[in-house]
This record gives sequence, structure tokens and C-alpha cells, in this order.
Amino acid sequence: MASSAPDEHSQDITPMDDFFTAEERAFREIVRAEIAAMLPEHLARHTRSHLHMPREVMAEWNRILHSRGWSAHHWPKEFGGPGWTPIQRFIFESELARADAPPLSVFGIYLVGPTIFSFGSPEQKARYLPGILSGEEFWCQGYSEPDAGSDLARLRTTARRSGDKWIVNGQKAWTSEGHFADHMILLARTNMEVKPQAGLSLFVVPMDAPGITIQPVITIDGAHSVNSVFLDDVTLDASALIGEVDQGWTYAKFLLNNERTNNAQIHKSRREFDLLRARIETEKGEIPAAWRERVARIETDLAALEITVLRVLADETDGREPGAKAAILKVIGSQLQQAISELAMEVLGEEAVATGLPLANDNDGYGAYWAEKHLFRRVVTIYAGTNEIQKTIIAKTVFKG
Amino acid sequence: MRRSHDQSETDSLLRASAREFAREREDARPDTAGNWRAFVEAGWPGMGLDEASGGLGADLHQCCLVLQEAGRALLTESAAADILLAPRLAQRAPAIAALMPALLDGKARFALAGAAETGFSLSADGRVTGRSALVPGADRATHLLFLAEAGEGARFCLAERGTGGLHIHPAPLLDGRTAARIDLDAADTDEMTVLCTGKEACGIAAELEALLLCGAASEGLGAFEAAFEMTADYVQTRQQFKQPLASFQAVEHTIADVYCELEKFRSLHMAMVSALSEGGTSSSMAVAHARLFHASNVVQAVGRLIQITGGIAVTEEYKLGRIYRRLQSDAALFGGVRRPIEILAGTPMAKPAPLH
Ligand SMILES: Cc1cc2nc3c(=O)[nH]c(=O)nc-3n(C[C@H](O)[C@H](O)[C@H](O)COP(=O)(O)OP(=O)(O)OC[C@H]3O[C@@H](n4cnc5c(N)ncnc54)[C@H](O)[C@@H]3O)c2cc1C
Repeated sequence: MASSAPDEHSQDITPMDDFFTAEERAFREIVRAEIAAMLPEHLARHTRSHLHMPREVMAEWNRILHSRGWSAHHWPKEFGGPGWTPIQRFIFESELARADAPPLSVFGIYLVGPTIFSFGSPEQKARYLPGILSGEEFWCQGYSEPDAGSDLARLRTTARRSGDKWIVNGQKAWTSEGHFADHMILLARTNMEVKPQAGLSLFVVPMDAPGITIQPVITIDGAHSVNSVFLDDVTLDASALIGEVDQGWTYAKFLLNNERTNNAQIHKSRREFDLLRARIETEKGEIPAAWRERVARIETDLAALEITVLRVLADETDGREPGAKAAILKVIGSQLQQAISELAMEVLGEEAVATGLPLANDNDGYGAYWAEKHLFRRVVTIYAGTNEIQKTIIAKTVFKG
Repeated sequence: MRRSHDQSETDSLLRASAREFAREREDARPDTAGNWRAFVEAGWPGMGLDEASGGLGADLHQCCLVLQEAGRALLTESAAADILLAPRLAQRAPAIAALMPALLDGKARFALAGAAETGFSLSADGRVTGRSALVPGADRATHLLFLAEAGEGARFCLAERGTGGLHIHPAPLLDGRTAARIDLDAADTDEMTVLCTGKEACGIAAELEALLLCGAASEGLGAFEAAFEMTADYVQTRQQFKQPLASFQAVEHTIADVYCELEKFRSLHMAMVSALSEGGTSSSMAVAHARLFHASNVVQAVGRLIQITGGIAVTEEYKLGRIYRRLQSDAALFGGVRRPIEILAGTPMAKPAPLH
């Protein structure tokens, strides 16, 4: 895709600027300069033109950030985070996106790390946190099953105690990055006697354990990023259990609540919209009349989401409860991602649906990149809790007041 | 004029046999040797040709109904140009009529090189230069039709594959079909057949483009129907929280909304086919309505069906995702939604004008 310099218009002066203090703006200058110095061009180029990140790309960038102490920017200082405020984290994330830095694997940094430092044993912390921080070890999430999607609590994979071991049997569906992960964080049933939510536990499973079979699942974009994982009499040591037995549901839910702003994907949306806009303007001189209204509306929605995320973070910083407005972030963020890719498909037209043609504006793969992204984007309103389920939660939060 | 898609008994019989034929070929690749042979034996190319010429004598509604079934099964073989264009042209141009035996035999296949990319210009010494939009199925056409230049000096031409200066660039589409871009590089009209000239040439080019949009919309309608039906079935079968998905109000409302879109599209489609059958004055508007709906509302509606189906719908092997890819590809072809928007909401001057 375009390697031209990004259009700067909407990133330097935005309505958000008035939300930042002078110190925060100074902080932004510092991280911007440091990221620019640290980020190798080949990683930025890869990020601009690829949807699914291979392990090597994520690992290389993770390592670089780690050497600066920035790989787990939202972790507390005692576990290796930089100790930033929520607003500083927002600024840092926005700068990463602006520089086209590759995303880090969500599972280690966002899901497993916080699970382990919140609920894990001292041995687990010592064993697993360093690998996540440095990017040397990758994780996947084994929660969903073929019959347990929205109704996750009804999952059927079992972990049975046998002496001082656990024996795991079952099938996990949709395991993103499972084909290159070193470990899985597994949610399994440990108690049949109680109500579904009460009998689940969390485990660490080495992906090379005997009894594990990984089957690729090709998605609508033609790519391989998810897998089915079969667990057949997989034997785990007692130390594989995270926290207390039968408490897995509580831990899993705690984390979902913890990670609400990340789900909005605001920085990624902002960046790709700015690049798309720059591309249209470069190619056509200006936004053609047919799309001006759409562009203006998306621009407005982006601003609304950015400011809403900031308000939630401000609440978090000051100890106020953000309530329903935290829950809406995933819904509006995912809808916005789809609106942007729909616009891209329309603007790019033939360029997006035909591959392997020398096109008038020399085919640099930008169209194919958007098509892949657009197709895979159908999932953003489905995974991490479908938007229908989210809306029910939002309504409940509103009614509770 | 018809007021239902299956008004006559012949319509229903034709639909049933086309459905069965298409279902058997659901996964056939377009480039499979001999794939087109089966279509020929089933009488598809001569569908709309009168019986005296060896065809089946189906009217436009019936031809579109067959294409609808092709779309329902997501056939990657593009049959629209052969089914819809050739019989229309045969009535008007003896050179085309002479090719009908070859068409019936599967040896001649047609494509209309639409003008959306640069159009084709004609030099004083009768040479044609330019580049077409992407045309589904043009990679396998033996005969290409195009309009060189607009206005008084226009010529509507037929060029055989192999004509000097004619280049066919095939391109795989997102949905598994193949399209091609036609390049003419100072191709000599003396090596082609000029079918008609002037106003008549422009008129026929516009009429054929409208028919192609109509064919695409017919396939799109079939695909949309298939998407709707499979989703309505699935949400009644799949259980979460110990009940079928169909029992959740969010899912019910989506089904209802999408059903509204489906019936609207059926209506616009039927009106378009009627208008094109009668050659009436309303045809360019009717085509624009159906085209705009096909390239925007239908894609969005199928996106919503994916949503209520959940993760399974975004796997490669699940048909709903492939339907979405088909409709997304359709939306980008034929110049996207720009022309229908111009026709329907452009300047008053633009309104009654022909399609391009
Ligand atoms: C690409 C991709 C990657 C994924 N990665 C992972 C991963 O790494 N690890 C992991 O554990 N999981 C992963 N998932 C699984 C994801 O979390 C589930 O797909 C999601 O929870 C939805 O479940 P489902 O697909 O079974 O849909 P279903 O639960 O069957 O839902 C189908 C539809 O019904 C609706 N519905 C269901 N219940 C209700 C209700 N009560 N009220 C209203 N509407 C309802 C849903 O909103 C949806 O629209 C991934 C999924 C995808 C598609």
C-alpha cells in the first residue's frame, strides 16, 4: 500500500487536544520521537500492508519495546509496566498507531499477563510474565467451543483431577494464533455438580503437550488466523491451575471488565481512516462529491469515540465509575471499524475486488489489503462478545442507573 | 406486465429444473474443462433465442429466473452475457444471427466490454483504443462487443478473440469468479464487424449494458435469497442459553429487517425486468433502482445475516460468507453505485438520459 507520508491534518489538531494538559502534550512529543527512533521501517511497512501479523513481526517489535520498558504499557510498575496514567497510555497507544507500529499479540499482553499477575501464584508470575514482557513466548485463548459461543458458561471441555495431575478432554473453537502460540490459557469445567458458571477453572496448557491437535480454520478473507484445538487426555501438572479451582468464571469476567477501552480500537481506526483519506485525496485531488458526506460523518464518529474513550479514562483516573459509557465502547468502536472498511471498499471499487491486474494507478496491493481487512472485519462485531450481547449488558447498566 | 416472479406454470417448471441443474454444479470451478458443455446441453445459451432459431424461446423474466438460480448456487460460470445479450442482438444484427448456431453449440461466447474505465476512442483511420471496466466472464469470451466512441461517429463493434491489438487481461475476483479487462490498442475496425453506427450504436450499447446489470442483479437476488433462507433455518436450529437463537428479539428483528430488504429487492428486480422487456421509457430508472439496491442494501443486509449467524459465518467453507464475497464483488463492478446515483439524484438533465 501507499508508502507516502501520511496526511497529518486530523492527527495534530483534534478536538481531543483540549483534553490534554501541557504535561500530557509534552509526554506525547517525547513518545512520538522515541517511537520514531525505535521503529524499523520494515515493521511499519508490514503493518501498513498486512492484516494478520506473523509471530516474527510481533516478536521483533515486542522485543524493541521491551528494551525500553514499554512493552506492557498498561501493566502496573511492579510487574514491569512503565507506571503511566490512563491518559498517558491513551497517548502512547495513539502514537503507536500513528507510526504504524505492529500491534502486539493481544493474548499475552492484554489477557494472560493481567490474569496471572492478578490471580496467579508467585511461581506462575516468575515463570510466565518475563516471556510475555519480552515477547519471547506467545499465548492463545481457549475459551469458546463449537456449542459455547455467546453462552460461554456452558462449555464442555473438562479437566478431571487424577492424583496430583489434571486430565483435560474437549474441543476449543476459534483459537486465534493457536498455531504459533507456546501456551494456551484454557477455561475448562472442573465441577459438574454446580451451576455452569460456578464449575469452571483456568489453566495454563503448553501447546506442545501430548494429546493436543491443532486444525487450521480458514476464514472469509482466505487467511489462516484461527484454529480448532482438540484436547485428548492432555495431562497437566497441579501447578497449571491458575488461582482457585472453580473460580475461572470470576477471573475471566474480571478481565473482560478490565479491558474495555482496548476493544474500541480507536487508534487503529483513526490511523487507517487518515491514510485512506490521504490516499483518496492524493489520487483524486479531493474527496469526490459522492463520498463527502460519508467522510464527514465518519470523521465525526471518530471524534465522538475518541472523546468518549478519554472520558472513560478520566473517570478511571479519578476513581469515578464510568458505568454504561464504558460498555458502549466496544459496540461503537466495532461499528466504526466496519463503516470505515465499507467506505474503503466503495471508494476503491474494482481495485479492491480484483487481484493480479496491472491497474491504472499501478497496483500496489492497497485494494487487496482493504478487501481482506473488510471481509475479516465482519468478525469485530462478533468476537469478544457479540454486539447483541453487549447491547443487552448496556441496557441493563442503564436501567440499574 | 408480470406481477409475480413465478406467474406461469412454465416459470415454476423452469425454475425447478434450473435450480436442480445449478445445485449439482455448486462447487464446479469455471475453468474446469467441459464445464460450459453441461450448460450447453441444458440449453442455457439458447434460453432466450426463439424456437425457430433452435432456442427455448424463454422471455426475459424466464431468462432472469434461470440466472437467479445460478446466483443462488453461486455458480462461478458467468452465463449472463450469452443468455441475455446474444438473442437481443441476433434480432438486430445479421452478423450476430449468423453466430447463433455456434452459440447454441457452446463454441461462441460473448462479452460486452463496458466503458466504465476509459471508454474506447476511434481514430480517423478507424482504429480503436481504450480499456474496459472489469467484465465477469470476459476471459472466456470468443467474441467481444463494445462501443467505440459516443455520439454521431459511434460504432458498435464485434471483435473476435485474436484480433490484432485486442488484449484480454483476466483477473480473479474476490469471490472465485474470473473477470477480465479488455484493452484495445489501435485495433483496426477493418478486422472487426461494425454492427451498427451513430445513435443506434449508442442505443444498443446502453440497452445491452442495462441487460447485463439486470443479469447481475438477478444472480444477486438468487444469492440473497439463499443467504436469507439458510440463515432463517440456522437461527431456528442453533441453541445458546438453552434456546434457539431465533427466540432472541435482537435476532428476530434482524430477520424481519432483512426480510423487508429482500422483498424490496424482489420488487425492484421484477419492475426492472418488466421495464426492460417492454423497452419502456422507465427502464433506465428501473435499472438504476435495482442496481443501487443490489450494490448497497443487499450487501449490507447479508452482512447483518452474518452477524446473527455468528462465528461460523466467517469461515471459508460456510456458504454465507461466500455469498457476501459475491455481492461485495458485484457491488464494485459495473462502475459501482456512481451511475445509479447520478441517474436517480443527479441534475434534472441527467435523469431521462440513457444509462451511460
Ligand atoms: C475470527 C474469530 C476469532 C476468535 N478468536 C477467539 C479466541 O481466540 N478465543 C476464544 O475463546 N474465542 C474466540 N472467538 C470466538 C468468539 O468469542 C465467538 O464467536 C463469540 O462469542 C460468538 O459466539 P458464536 O460465534 O458461537 O455465536 P452465537 O453465540 O451462536 O451467536 C449467534 C448470534 O446470535 C446472537 N445471540 C446469541 N445469544 C443471544 C442473546 N441472548 N440475545 C441476543 N442475541 C443473541 C449473537 O449475538 C449472534 O449474533 C473468535 C471468533 C472469531 C469469529
